[in-house]
Amino acid sequence: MILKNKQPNISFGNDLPQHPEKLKQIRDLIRDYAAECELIPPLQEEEVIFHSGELIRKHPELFLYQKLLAVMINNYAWSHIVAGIPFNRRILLLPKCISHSTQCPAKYDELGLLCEQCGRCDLAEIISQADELGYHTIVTEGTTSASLLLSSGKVECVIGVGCLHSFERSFPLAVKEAVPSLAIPLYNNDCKDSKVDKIWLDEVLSMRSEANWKGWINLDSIKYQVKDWFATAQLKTLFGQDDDTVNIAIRWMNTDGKRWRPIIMLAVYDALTGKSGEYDDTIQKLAVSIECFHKASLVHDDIADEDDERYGKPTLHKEYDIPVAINVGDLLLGYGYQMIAESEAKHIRKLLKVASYGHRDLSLGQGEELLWRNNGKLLTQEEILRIFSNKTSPAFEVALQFGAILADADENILNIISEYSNALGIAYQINDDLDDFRQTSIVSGFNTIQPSLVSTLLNQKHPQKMQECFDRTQNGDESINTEFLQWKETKQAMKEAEEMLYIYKRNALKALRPLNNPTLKILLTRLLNRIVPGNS
Amino acid sequence: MSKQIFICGCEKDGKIEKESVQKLMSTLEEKNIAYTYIEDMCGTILKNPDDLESLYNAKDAIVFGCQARAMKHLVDNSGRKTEGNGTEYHHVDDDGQEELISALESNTGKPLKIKYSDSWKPWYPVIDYDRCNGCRKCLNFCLFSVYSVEDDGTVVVSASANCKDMCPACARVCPQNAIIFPKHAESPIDGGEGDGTQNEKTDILEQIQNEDVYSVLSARRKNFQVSLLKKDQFKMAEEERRACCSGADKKEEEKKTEKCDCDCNCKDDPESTDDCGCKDGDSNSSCACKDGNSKSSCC
Repeated sequence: MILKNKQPNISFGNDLPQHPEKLKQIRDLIRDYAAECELIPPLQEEEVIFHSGELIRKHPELFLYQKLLAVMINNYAWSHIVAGIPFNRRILLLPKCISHSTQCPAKYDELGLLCEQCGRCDLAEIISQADELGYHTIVTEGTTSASLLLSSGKVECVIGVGCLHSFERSFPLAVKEAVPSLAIPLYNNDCKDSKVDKIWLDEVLSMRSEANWKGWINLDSIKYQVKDWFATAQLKTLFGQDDDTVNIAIRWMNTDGKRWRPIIMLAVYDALTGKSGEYDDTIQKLAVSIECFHKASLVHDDIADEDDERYGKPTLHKEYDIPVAINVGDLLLGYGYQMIAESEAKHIRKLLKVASYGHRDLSLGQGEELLWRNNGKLLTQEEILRIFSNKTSPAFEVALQFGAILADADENILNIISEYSNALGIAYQINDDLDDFRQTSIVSGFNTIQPSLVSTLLNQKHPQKMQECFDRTQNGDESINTEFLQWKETKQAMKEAEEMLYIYKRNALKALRPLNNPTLKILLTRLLNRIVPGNS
Repeated sequence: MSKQIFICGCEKDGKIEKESVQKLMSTLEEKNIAYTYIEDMCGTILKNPDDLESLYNAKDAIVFGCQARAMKHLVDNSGRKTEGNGTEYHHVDDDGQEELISALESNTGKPLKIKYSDSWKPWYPVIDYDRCNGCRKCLNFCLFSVYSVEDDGTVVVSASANCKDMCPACARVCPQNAIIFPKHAESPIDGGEGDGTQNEKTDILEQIQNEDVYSVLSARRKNFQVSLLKKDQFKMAEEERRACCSGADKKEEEKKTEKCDCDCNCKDDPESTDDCGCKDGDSNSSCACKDGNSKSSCC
């Protein structure tokens, strides 16, 4: 039976006062409340809930408007930043349901309704007002284009009009991407002939402070800048020697890679200093040093894991041989420290300490994993998380700390970054593990799945399954490589790992709460989502 | 073998022409062909599905009503139709209707009527499973949990009553054009054939993800304004041409450009239309002839 007739199951508690005066009154209350406590965006969902709870405690009559309060609190947190964003960098999202439900002559494209401004509904007036100011307006149907825009990572500011339902849907996305955004709820939730409080909308649309907010970090343009530094000629000048081994190292540095670490370093530096695109030789050398450490660890990792390919090409020890590869890795480590020493940075000692601690921890994490492989005993959950924390977190931490140290950040910020990187690194590694299990078959056999959180979780609950996998692999039974991924026990373990991934992502965000620099808070929130994507 | 005839009148805020339905019924009566008149199939199939037992079990039937594809999937989705029974669906305004009727044998049964007396307007989506690929875009898109997924992965309409009257938004996001709102005014959302494959794609969605969002949006706005301007120019040209024509030619021209056969005067004077009554006429609530754009939904 495919047609079913269920009653609507939409939850209530999302009332909205139907008068502009009442709405204004609540906005004023929130302004007074926010004056007492500092609201640094982006606020996490729990923070918004906490503040709306506080407000209701002070003004019990507001309990009917819980969701509205959440929207307004979030708006307030963003308002100062939004006011600093030029109108022509803002996008206004209007809902299609404002249009006349039967007589709207407009056509649609994939982004939404193409308003002809016929005047049958309020859209014409709103759009011409927004046009005059310089907004980019989209009349959307549902939340698809809103989601797309928010997740594109290229939008600097969004003003959204919609029903409270739709905000519930898009709020998590706006938080994840840390896009400066303001929301204005519709009076009704009927999805047709909707009305919005024009006084409020007007207030928001025309909000503009004299100074521009300079905190939007354009990751794409940083990426572009960084690319130049890894061109062969640039690296040759930096490394300063013409030698066969050096040339192999330069080619390995030059080969693809996302350059996440240098990008992160520059982004943090930009966020803290408020400058962008102004990078001197010191910064360049430090960015290259970070990449040297990273690329060295990849060469050595590929040898240890017996991987034949990276970036779709033969790994260095496959192209040459293992001794050559080990030596090139070592050379890059040397260059890494050399670049720091010759960077003429103000805090060379601090930088050296961060780099060497990162180097040491990585080797300890890697060491624990390698020694485990020798004794064949399965790891516990604690052990595996410790390995992750040692093995993956330092790489991010070094990059983040370098950016912060260069910008003269205080201890407080360095500590927050430390806590954030630890959670970020673990989340990254869990996600990386999960990727191996999201395939249809295990790519390079037992070694890929063994030192992973998923197999550890599986082994904890179903040791006999893990044993079966082990035995069949030992006996050369290749069907296990596909079958293993289809077991419901494996899928269950993946689900648990996904839940842990979610927890570590949350921990990373929690670490950011005490940050009172919105620019850095916004950046690190965005980075988390870029480095560890996913819906959670 | 005699065929059973069903006619859906789409009475609850429907969109098919009452006149066409009436004409069809009198033709059948003249020829002594028995039929069953369903006041509103969308409504009955959801609220009183038992009333349509004769349709589900009919060995060989013809159903006249709105778009064939809409009716076919509406009935199929009920899950009650006896499998293997041939049922043909035709629009009441189909060209081949006369031929179809002349091939029918007369019988002396009396017309039957299946009433729909609920006040609720049956507005809800019907999934065309010949097209649906289970992508779940609709499921994620709908804010009111109209859709859900069965254990086997089939996307189903599970809470039809949650659907908001006149909102066809999920149908627009469906990449397969697989969602039908039988009472909608436009094709293919109303069950018209469309191209049967994919929604027409420009690459704007890709562009906003890969290029500078702001320039993409500005370009979109500019293109649209140009197209509006062109439309205005075209309208103006048409009006000018009409003004130049003599009386006899004028009527001819009107027929060609407007395809509108309502008898209001809005065509002659598109500017002052306040007193035009065609919108309130009972035949069609969505007459757009005022705009003079020769809309597909024009009466």
